[in-house]
Amino acid sequence: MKNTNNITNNETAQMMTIEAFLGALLIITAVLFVVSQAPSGVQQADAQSKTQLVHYGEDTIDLLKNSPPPLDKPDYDNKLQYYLSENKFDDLNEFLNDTLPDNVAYNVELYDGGRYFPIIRNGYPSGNGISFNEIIVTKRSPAGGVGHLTGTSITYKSFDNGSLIIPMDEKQNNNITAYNLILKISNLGIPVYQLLQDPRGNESAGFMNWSLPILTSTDPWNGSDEPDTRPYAGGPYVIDVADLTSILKNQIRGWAENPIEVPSSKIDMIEFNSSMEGKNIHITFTLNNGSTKIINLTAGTPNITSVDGLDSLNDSEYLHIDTTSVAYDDLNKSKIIGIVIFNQASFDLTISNITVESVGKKLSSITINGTNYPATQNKVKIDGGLTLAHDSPSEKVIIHNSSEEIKYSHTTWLTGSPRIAVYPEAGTMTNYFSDSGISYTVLDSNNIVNGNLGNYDILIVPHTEMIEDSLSDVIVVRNMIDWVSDGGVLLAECASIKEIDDRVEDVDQDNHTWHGFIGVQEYFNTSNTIQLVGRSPYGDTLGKYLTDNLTGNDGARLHPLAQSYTEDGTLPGTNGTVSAFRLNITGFNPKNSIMAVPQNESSGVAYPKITFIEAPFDKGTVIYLAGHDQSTFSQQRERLIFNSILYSTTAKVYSYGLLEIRITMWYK
Amino acid sequence: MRTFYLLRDEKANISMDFLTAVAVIIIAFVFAVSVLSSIITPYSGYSKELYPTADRAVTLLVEDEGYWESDDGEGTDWEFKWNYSGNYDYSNVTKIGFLDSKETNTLDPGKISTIMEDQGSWWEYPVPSSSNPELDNASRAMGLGRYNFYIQIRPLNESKYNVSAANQRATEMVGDRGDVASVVRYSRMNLLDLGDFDGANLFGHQGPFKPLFGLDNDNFSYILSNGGLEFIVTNWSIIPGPGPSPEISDISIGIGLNPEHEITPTYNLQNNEFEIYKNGNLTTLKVPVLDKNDTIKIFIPIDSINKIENWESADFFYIMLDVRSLDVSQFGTTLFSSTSKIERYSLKTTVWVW
Repeated sequence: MKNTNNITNNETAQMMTIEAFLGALLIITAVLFVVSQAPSGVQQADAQSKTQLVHYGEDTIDLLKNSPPPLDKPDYDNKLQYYLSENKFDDLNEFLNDTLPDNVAYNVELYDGGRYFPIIRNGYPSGNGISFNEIIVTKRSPAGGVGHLTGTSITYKSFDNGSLIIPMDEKQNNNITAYNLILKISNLGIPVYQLLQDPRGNESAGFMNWSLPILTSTDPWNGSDEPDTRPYAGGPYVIDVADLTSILKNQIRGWAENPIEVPSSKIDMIEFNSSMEGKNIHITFTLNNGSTKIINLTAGTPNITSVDGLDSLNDSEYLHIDTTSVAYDDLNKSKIIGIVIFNQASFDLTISNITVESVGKKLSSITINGTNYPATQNKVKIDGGLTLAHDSPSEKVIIHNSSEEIKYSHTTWLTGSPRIAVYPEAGTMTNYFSDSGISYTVLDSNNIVNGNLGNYDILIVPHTEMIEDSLSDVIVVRNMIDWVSDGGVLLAECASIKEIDDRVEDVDQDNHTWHGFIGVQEYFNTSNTIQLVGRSPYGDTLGKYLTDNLTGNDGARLHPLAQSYTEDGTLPGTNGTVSAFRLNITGFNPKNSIMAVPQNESSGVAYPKITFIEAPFDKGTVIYLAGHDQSTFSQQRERLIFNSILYSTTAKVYSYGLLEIRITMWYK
Repeated sequence: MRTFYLLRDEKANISMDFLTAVAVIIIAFVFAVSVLSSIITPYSGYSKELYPTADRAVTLLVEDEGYWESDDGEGTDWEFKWNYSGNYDYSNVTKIGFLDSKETNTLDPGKISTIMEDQGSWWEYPVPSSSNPELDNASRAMGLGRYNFYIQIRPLNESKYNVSAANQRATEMVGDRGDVASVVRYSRMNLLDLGDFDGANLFGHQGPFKPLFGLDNDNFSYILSNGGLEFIVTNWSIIPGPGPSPEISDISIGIGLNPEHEITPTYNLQNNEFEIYKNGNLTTLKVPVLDKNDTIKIFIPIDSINKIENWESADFFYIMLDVRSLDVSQFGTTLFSSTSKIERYSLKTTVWVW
């Protein structure tokens, strides 16, 4: 039967029956009953758990501060000071693990006044993490050192199955571009670890830690590869799976597979028959479709332009020449070094020939990617063409995936991405940039006088002969000394080395008992192969340890600066006026580490000639690397530059220090 | 006058507008209730008071020294005033706290043992044998008033105690009650561990020889935590004959010395007021010590120590042995602290309240 409601005007929304009242009351009563029965302790439980977490955190720090150090370490005031001073992070982890209940997770970080860096990571707080901070005076400190630098912080570390490995040996497409990725990852704020190895020889010759076998797969993204045990040498970098989220992993994958900042090719050297200083030079790149790209420059000046040729077709528009990367050899005015070429097309480009024109000058040869092409009538024809591959698999940074837990007793880590300054001009640094895509800032003397060094972790003084003039300003030298003394890392190459030591001695002669920063006395010129040297674990002579040397340290063995993977511990020599030096035996920095020396004619060591050395200077580090452009002959030699850059933010140990420990706890 | 006309079968029908209005009112009401509920929830009602109560109680226990006051004075050494007369008199203790002192920031084993039952390196309270007067006063002095509670103190190092026994007791005492709040705190405790005395190197009164042992006030908590004072002497220095046979003939206690390093006034313990063991066997005075390697253990229970009035306020508590033909190498007092070592514990204190 059809139900009809006849409602008269103005009666809408009015109560129709007494039953409506009763129904509404019934509903309200029901709701009230439900509400009264609902759990009411959600917020209370949350407040309680937070209060309990605060107790856990504060009490745990109190326990650490009130617990005595081990009986054989009576010099320490308490267990916390002992753990941090002796880098006993695993012991600290065990203490926390034993103390806290199973449902509480924690991370531990140290703050040195500049950066936080993690020492124990068990994941990310799930939104309700609470942090507890405590200031600790350490006897020796992995960071925040108030005393002097004593070395690299090296500790035992385990990485769970699924951690990412960035190979730094022949399994990597390009060791140099891998550094670009490492710096990017470090910039994400997650720690990048390095498994330090002994680069002086090979496993069969008895060098422990030359390589490490790890069960890995080569496809960390899709897991399509069957795991296999592979030996890793050259100091591979590791990202702990505990620090990775899917977002971070995708970010890393994107960078590794699309290294867009990495050049497609590089002209290592353009050599003329005589000095080109002040001369106008026109370099024409002809692609195989006939289009051209022309570089116009004036040697020795920053006046460089890049234009498409008149007969240009589309292809040359995609050929990008980095005009900022063109460098001149300061010691040989007949050379241009480092022109970087990028392919910005979505397809491969091919350069068929290169013509270099300069009035009254003759082109001798062009070296491209290590291959020398002799010139005919100022023109270099590249047989088969120079292919600039688009999205080439060979340009990608290789990342492997661990399929087992990695346990390694010589692990260090980066505390951040290095901030790089170069002084007084880019020089050979342009080549390092063009190989890696890692950028830097060029400082002039005014910048240093104004205190700008404080914004950087490493100052690189490349191969340049201008250093003597630049360092004539006492304030520049003084600020440089103070900056190193306070923790900065100085890397000097080639011709700048001795001048720096001499000027530091002039300005700061009463501060230290030795000459300058390290005490370099004399230069040598040799193109001989260099040999990595250092003390062996059991005091034997493996690795050509210099028994009568001037160093008290282990040299290249397990040193972050010397990580490389040649199987005999040798690297190519680089000729030049300053390719080796000698220490002043009556006044050198006694805590130096000599890491490489030239070989003599019978492949023995030509010590006391030295190629590569580092020494702590108060809280900072000074690194001297002799030789010409390190990028010319070998990636493993060029790695010494990037090892130095990364060393500036590698975790260190100081004689004592002031640290803040931060323990973040949360419920699992 | 307004007139409602109801047709057949239209009784109890309501308009959509009315239904909407009621729904809005209900939603608003529920929202208001939920907001009010969340605002007032933490500290309202019996069950919601449990957590702050437990938190306050455990914080007092591990962060406070406790307090007592009476006509005779006041202080933080409440452990000596807890049932001091032995007649269920706990009224002078106003606050129970286990902290030794705020300087050391460690718990006092004497204070813990005064109220907690030692179950073999872990402690609990209350236990079935706890008397009602004591439980009422403990509840009052811990700020737990009308609540039921159970307290456990365990070493963090699980190898130092019977974990399953402690877990079992917690289960028995607390069980799976509905509203129970528990709070955990970590602390440290330094436990005095007395070593054996070397009989060849005893200090005391000379002529006649009377070995004198002294426990300093800072270590009085040892007496409370161990229910008395126990010590062992070995490697005796026996004076060769002729002369009386070597023996321990008497034991006296006190808190004052004369210039000759004799206790004064002295209290001579009767055989039922101490225990003496020779080579592990319980015996009575007089105890012959014929072999220098004889091991003599003496235990003086706290009830006997309490014979000395105000001993807890003295600088030292002394024990003197009357001996025959046993040497005292030097004039002075053989200090317990000279052989003691401190065992350091990290502890977990848990208070359950319901």
